[in-house]
Amino acid sequence: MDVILFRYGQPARFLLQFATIIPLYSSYSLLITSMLHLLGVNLPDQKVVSVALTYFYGIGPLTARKICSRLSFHKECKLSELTEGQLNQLSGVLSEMTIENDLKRQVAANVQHLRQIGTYVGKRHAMGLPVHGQRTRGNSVTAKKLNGKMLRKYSTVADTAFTRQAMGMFQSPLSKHQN
Amino acid sequence: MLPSLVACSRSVWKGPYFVHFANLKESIASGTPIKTMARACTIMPHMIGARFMVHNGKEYLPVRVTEEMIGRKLGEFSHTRKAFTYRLTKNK
Repeated sequence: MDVILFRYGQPARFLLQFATIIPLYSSYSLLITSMLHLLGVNLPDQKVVSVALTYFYGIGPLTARKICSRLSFHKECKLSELTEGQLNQLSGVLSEMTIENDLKRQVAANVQHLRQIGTYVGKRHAMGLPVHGQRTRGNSVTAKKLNGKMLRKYSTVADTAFTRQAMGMFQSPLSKHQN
Repeated sequence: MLPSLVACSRSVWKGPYFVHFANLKESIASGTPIKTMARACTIMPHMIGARFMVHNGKEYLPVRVTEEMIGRKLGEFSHTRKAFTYRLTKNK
C-alpha cells in the first residue's frame, strides 16, 4: 500500500508510525513528507542540501557542493534544517547563476545559431543525428530522440524520420530558418 | 570534420591559421566566388562578404561569409558526406 502525502510546507512525521504498522504489499512505497518551493522548483525537504540542489536544471553534484561550501552549510545538513536567513542566502546565490529556463533558452539559442549559420553541427541537429562523429550504422538512439529538439518549434508536419528524409537532408522541415 | 576540433583549438600565441587569398577584395566587390581547397582556413573579419566555393573532396560547395561565421573554418560549411537515403531496391 502506497502512503503518499503532500502536505505543502508541513512535515507530517506522525504518519511515519503508521507507515511501519501498515503492511506494505507493493514493491515500493512512496512517502513524500514535504517539499520546499524554491525559485520555481520543488525540492525534497528531507534530503541533504547538496543533493537537493541537483534537482535544479543546470546544477550537478559539483556545483551543489560549491554552493554549500560557499554558504558554509554543513555537509550533512538537510534542507528542512536551514533557517530562513540561510534559505534567502541560498536563493540569492541561485538567482545569480543561469539555471532552469534561462539555461534552456541559452542552449536552444546556441543550437539555433549554429543552424542559422549553416554549420555541419547545425545540420546534424536538424536531422536529429549524432553531432560528435559517432557511428550511425547502429547505436544512435539517444541522438535520434533528443537532438534538434530546440529546432522543432513550429511543427505542422508529423515529425518522423521518414518525413525528415523525404523533405531533404539539409533543410529541417520544421525550422524557421531556411537556407 | 570533427566538431570537437573547434573546441580543442590551436594555441593562442600561434595566432589563427588562415590563408591569404589574392582575389579576396575582388570577390567582395563583384561577388565572384573563390574556388578553394583550404577547408582549414579560419574565417577572418576581412573575409566578410566574400563568396567561396569550398572543396568537399569531390565538388565545390558555395559558402557566403557573414559576420557570425568569424572564428570558424571554411570546411564547417561544406559537408563532406552524402546524406543517407533509403530507396527500396526492386531487384528480388
